[in-house]
Amino acid sequence: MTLLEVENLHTEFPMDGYTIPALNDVSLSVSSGEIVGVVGESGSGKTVLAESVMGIVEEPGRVTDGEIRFKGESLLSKTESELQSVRGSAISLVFQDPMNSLNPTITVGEQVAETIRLHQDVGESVSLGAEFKRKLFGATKHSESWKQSIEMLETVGIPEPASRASSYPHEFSGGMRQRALIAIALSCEPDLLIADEPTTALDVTTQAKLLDELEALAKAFDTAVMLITHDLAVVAEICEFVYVMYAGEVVERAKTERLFGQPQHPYTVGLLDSVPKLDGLTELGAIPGDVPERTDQIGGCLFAPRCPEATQECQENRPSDRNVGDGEHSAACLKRGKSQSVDMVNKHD
Amino acid sequence: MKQHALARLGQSAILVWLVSTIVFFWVRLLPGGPFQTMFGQQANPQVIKNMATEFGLNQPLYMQYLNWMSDLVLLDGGRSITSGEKVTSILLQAAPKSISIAVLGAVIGLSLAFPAAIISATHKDRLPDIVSTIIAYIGLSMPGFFIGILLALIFGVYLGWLPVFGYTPLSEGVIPWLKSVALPAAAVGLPYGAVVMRITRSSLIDTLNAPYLRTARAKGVGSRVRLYKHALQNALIPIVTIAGIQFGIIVVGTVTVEFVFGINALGRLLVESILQRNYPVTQGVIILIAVMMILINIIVDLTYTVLDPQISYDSEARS
Amino acid sequence: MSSSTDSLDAADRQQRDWFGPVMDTVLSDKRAVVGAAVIGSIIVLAVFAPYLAPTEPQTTYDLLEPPNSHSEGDFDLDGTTEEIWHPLGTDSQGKDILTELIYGARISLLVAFATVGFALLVGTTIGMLAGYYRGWIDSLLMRYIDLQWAFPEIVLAVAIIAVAGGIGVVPVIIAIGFGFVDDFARLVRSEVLKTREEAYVTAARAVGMRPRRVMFREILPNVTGTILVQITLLIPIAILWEAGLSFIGMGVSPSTPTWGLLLADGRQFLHEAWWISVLPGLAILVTVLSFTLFGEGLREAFDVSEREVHDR
Repeated sequence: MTLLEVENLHTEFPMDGYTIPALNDVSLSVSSGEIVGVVGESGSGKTVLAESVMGIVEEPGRVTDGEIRFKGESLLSKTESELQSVRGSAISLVFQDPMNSLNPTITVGEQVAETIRLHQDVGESVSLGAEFKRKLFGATKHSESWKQSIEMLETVGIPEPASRASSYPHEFSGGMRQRALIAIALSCEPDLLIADEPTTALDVTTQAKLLDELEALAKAFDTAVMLITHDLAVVAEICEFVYVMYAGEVVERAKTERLFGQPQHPYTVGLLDSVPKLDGLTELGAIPGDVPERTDQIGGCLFAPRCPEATQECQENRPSDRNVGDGEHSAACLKRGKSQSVDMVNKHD
Repeated sequence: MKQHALARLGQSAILVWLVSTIVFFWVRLLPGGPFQTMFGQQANPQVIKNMATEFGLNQPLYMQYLNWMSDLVLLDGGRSITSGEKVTSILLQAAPKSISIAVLGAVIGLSLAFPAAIISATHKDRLPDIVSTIIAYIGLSMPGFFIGILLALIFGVYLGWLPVFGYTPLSEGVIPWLKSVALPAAAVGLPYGAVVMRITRSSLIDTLNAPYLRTARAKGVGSRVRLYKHALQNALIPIVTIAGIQFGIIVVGTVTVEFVFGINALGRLLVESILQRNYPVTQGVIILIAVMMILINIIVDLTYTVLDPQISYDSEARS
Repeated sequence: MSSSTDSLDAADRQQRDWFGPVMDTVLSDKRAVVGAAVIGSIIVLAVFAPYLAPTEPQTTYDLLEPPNSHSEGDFDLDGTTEEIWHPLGTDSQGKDILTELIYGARISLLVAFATVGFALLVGTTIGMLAGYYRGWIDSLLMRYIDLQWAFPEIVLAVAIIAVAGGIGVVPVIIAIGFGFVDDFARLVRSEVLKTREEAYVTAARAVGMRPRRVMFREILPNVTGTILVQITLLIPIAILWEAGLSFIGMGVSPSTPTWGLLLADGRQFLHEAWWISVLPGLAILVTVLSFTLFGEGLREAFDVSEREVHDR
């Protein structure tokens, strides 16, 4: 069933005299248990997308249009405190930058336990006074939240979890910190996990290992995953469906094998071309030009300036999603397929 | 840990020795001797010679130095050349005054600075922040003695609530003591508070923008818990540095405020003893000051070990 | 190889073209503009003091007159009676306060600029030498910095003035400036340490550029912004110090009008003549505040973080 539905989402950042549309008419969906990839380079809006879903877009940014529905309920109409009970329990977000995403002054075990305490019924208070007491007198190692925290650390593959739980983040390696972040995210068995570049800061061997473990964990907890990355290899590894984003818009969406086998949007083609291939013969293709910054000033297709196929029509008209294949594959390009309404495109389960 | 404590003690002792030596030679660099200032032009050379002998000032320099050092180790600061009183007792009378004013001042300053900074940081660039910042800037731009004069004017002259002259020791009662130090403490504490408020505000803003605060929000942690449990401890580290250093400065640097309120504490003692070329007193005051600064520094370092899990007592991490 | 030197020149020019963008940022920062405007007015007042002040400095009229009052009498001993208007009153010796304030501005600004200038020269040189050559200069500098926190500045300042034999402009300048030397030294030293390993410095040295030239042409321009900000932040502190030292009688001579002296004078007359102390205090407040605001604006314009410059 559909877990998360994002419809025509607009998120913008008002600046001094102009406004940057970080997300422009973005639509996507995630089904329960599914692993979905959101691919884009920096500036594509993929992080803003995650933030918009969680309701943590940084000021001055805000969502101005569209709808985000989770399990049928609108997230955009929830208050901050309602969202706080959703965050970490029904939907979790794992940030990039594991080095700095853990609080240096709180033990790792406590950072996991805190999440459990907040969302699970373990009979422990989360008021400021209670936290203060915990800080002053030390948290009990016998509390339910601590026990569950240790279990969680073990599940994500941290050795000697009982003793490591009392350690501070600076005593952990990068890979371990990332696992701790995953532990925090999965501690309350969320329905959806949004992972923003979970492997970017890690070396290649750790990356591969972590991805496999992430996939296993997701299956074990029956958690859907929205994997945000710029790395196509990561997507190819574990994602079932892929959304390609460019300059705040979704430019192509398809099942993974189809995207890699028959990419339609010129941007996707360019991305795939720029991945080194083992045959040693293909030249590394680079997409000329840069991602536009002031997208509010561009009338036509955002990719047109860099597109080898762009025509006058492309410069003037913003393309909408067009069906390019099996009913689930669509690309926003005037040169492809036939115009399609958004509804048909979103149903891919 | 013990090793480190011993090493620290040793370092401090060396520092004190260094300071004492520097001061010893420096006072003797001052033009004119103690007796010229005391007796002026009509000085009777024979009287001067006798007094000089009595204070051991006719001996060769190295002897004076050795005597001085050996006395110092036994905590004997000698006697004041002008009054004959023991230096240690002079210091013991003056120090509590400086310390009370500084401590009370710090309390006043901090209790204003922290709430103001928290409000500022959580309402960045909005009205409460702008107002707080303006007040802080004004507090920074006025010399302590001017604040003292203004306070004396308002609370002393016009309202008549508090005394503007003199110091009442604690032995005569807590309320009288408090009344006598309230204004000088405020004069010293307000600029101190302004400095601390600014560093607290900027440190809090930095911390609140840190990635781990975003993680906390994404976990569903409420805003007050985020501020006090997640942000505060991290923000405190640079704050403690500044608050500590500045505290050391106000313990001593309150000379001008002492002049405003007619209080004879360490600052006054320092200036007067220098003007009088009262070597033993000057030396005593400066060494005492150095010792207090060293102590404050050690306390600040210890505070780091509590605040920052990455710093244990064995590591010398100083930001 | 002309193309490579062309691009080097272009980079050079770009380095020096910072003035425009900085000016733009400063002008758009309201507090910097206000600060600068006030500073400008004070400087004008100080420079043109003889023309702007209502009376001659140090001349006396009626004693302890409140603001907006008049003295009547034959003050210039020419046989006729004059009436002098005192917009800000007179002090305990009968000197017109507005006059004293305007002339006092001269001292404050003079001492402040000289002090910071002195510290800039000495501090930058030491910092440059320490950072570039390392060795004993560097060790000495570091040891001194380690040691100096045991001596709060007031102690240092008083010590220097005492050694100099007491009163005068030069001892005050050195006394206050001494405390600022380490700020510049540290700043420059850390910048030098950062840049000396950069490729373009190594290149310059490889081409045989003399060390001094390297230091001035390659390294120094990078730190200009931070130095400028540090200067504007230290000037108000110097003004506060000068006032404080004058207040306790250790400042510039007792016969020149300074704000600190006025404040000290007025202390005894708080009951009957509050304006003698309050007005110079306000003058200090306004001056220091405007320099601070301007400095903060500069800091934003040059994008200098709070950790790089030393704020007290």
